[in-house]
Amino acid sequence: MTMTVPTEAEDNPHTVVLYPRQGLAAINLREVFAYRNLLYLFFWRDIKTRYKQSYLGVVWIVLSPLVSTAIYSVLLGYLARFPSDGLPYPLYVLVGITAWQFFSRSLNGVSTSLADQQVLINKIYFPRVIAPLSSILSAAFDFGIMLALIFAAMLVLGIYPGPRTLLAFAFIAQMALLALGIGLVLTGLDAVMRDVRVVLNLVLQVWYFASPIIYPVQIVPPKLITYYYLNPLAPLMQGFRWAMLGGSVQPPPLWSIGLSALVTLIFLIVGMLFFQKVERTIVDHL
Amino acid sequence: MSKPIISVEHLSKYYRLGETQSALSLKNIFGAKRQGVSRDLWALKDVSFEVPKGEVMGVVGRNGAGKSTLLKILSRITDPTEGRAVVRGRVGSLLEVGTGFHPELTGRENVFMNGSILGMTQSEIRRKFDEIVDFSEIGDFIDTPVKRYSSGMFTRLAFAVAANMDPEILIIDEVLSVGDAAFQKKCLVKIRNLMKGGRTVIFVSHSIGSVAELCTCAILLHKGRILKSGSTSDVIEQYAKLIAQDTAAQTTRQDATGHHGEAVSITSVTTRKAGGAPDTVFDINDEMILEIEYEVHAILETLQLSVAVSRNMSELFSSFDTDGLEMPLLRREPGKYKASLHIPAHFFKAGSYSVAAHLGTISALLLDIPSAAQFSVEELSENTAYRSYKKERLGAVVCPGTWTTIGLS
Repeated sequence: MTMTVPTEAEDNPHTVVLYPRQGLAAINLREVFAYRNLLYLFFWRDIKTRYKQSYLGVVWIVLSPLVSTAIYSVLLGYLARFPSDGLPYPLYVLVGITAWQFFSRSLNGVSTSLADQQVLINKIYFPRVIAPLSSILSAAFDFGIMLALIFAAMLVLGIYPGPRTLLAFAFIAQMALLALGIGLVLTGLDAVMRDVRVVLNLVLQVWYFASPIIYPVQIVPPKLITYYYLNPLAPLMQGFRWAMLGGSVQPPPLWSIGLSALVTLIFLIVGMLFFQKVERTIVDHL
Repeated sequence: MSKPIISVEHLSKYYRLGETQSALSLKNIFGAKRQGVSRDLWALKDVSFEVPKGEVMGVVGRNGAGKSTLLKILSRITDPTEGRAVVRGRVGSLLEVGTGFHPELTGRENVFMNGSILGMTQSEIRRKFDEIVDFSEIGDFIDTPVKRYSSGMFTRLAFAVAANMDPEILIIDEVLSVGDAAFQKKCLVKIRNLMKGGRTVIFVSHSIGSVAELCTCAILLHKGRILKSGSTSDVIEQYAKLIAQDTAAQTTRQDATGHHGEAVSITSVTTRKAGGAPDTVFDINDEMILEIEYEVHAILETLQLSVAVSRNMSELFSSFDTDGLEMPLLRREPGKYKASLHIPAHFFKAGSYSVAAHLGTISALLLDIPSAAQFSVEELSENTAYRSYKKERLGAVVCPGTWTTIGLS
């Protein structure tokens, strides 16, 4: 066993001063980087344990959105004859549902991350923000698999990805940041009051129908469209679909993307400050 | 003179425990009346101490004394309410066995997982992997999900990971209480090795034995404050006194005439030298008599008297008044009795001892006095400096056997 004894305690890079921290401070990103391996392992553990004892494994990831897609295709696409910008309705709705699932799973995961990891948080120190970040990675993994399926379907249907497809990733990235920002605000509250996750689920239900996921933006009355795009998720959803499928899908107005970015930024800043304050003594309330 | 590796200055931690109770939870709607009891408390209050590098510091105290809170603050799990602490080195904390072990993952996967949680890098873990597996004695089970492990295997692997991460400061809480005796011994050896390598260890345990054996200094916490700090033996002695006080207060009914139960009373427990008056200080060479006077209030078909003698909270032996009999059935008529136990000379090492007395029938414990008498044994007539039964050496009792060595071949 190698024994590396530091010569002088004062030079020790691991020296920490523990005191009652007050006020607001930024999240220590350098420390998060030092713990990046743990972030990866959290993510990997989540994926591994989720499907460790299931026979179909990864199939379960795609099954749920496919079933939703099938139901909507029959109900709305076939029976109600919803317009879908000239694209096959099943593909059209599948793209929307995939992005939505990524967003709602991220938001849910981040919001419940402190409470979910409380056993660990109670016993061991690590930068707490690792927990919510790994929730996003976990949702991104599912999203990646769905995306592969969508690309396959597009190729079969003769819709080819172009340079614009790259923008889809920008929209998805902003969704992740929005979910992270809101989630960071909620997760401290959720650890103390589990009511938060119930309320969040209600909010998500409303949000789902208030965003262009199962229907095209065109069915929103023109005089309401400005209000509609105040929803910071609406331009991201519409933008993602536009970047993925193109055709006659209309891109969201630029102002709405800007507004959405601003809202995202505000949530991120507030979320990080709030989270940073909460993480200091969160174990006392778990 | 280098600075102490841990300095704690006026550390306090306040818990507001009633704070987050919701007004509308089902418990309150359907449950009993809400209790207005405030459970706010100072889990730690104005605690200051320093740990020089290379020391093994024991933290003792009863449940709720603030031991866990102190460790939580030192391992950065929560912030203190007041005061500050400086920790000058990498901390490896083992606050509970197998924290972060996931039952579905294999031993190997958990080692990597746990190592990372404890702050090791991937390459560090890879380098130490074989050592960890060797130490844990897990063998081929390393690729089995840990949910199939016995609790002993689980503990061994968890301790192996933490002990091999090369921390400058290792915080251990109650870990050694699990696992078999052989592995516990191995852990103690490992901790000693860490010590020799200049590591600092903070060791919390209810096992006074292992604290006494391992620690170079100790602190005693009581209700969030430091009651005593200094040498391990002083602190343990104080702790033993504290326990004795607390348990004495719990006995059924106690007055100047003794301890009284429904069917029996113990009126006195005394120690004396053979042929002498009652005394509480003895020499190693004294033959000792332990006398218990008791009173039986109703006819008891099977009465047994037993005593247990302990030092520093660990029991050395117990003895029953029926030990010499074929069948432990003694009928006792109501009346007063005196029982004496002769303990030969050269039996107790120097130290302070506590006697517990119990009266019971075969089926029921009638009277239990955890701390009925105290006495101490001193090295008055004999210089034990070169004897194996010197106070500081291994072993609980004196055994002055005779050695002979003859040359062979």
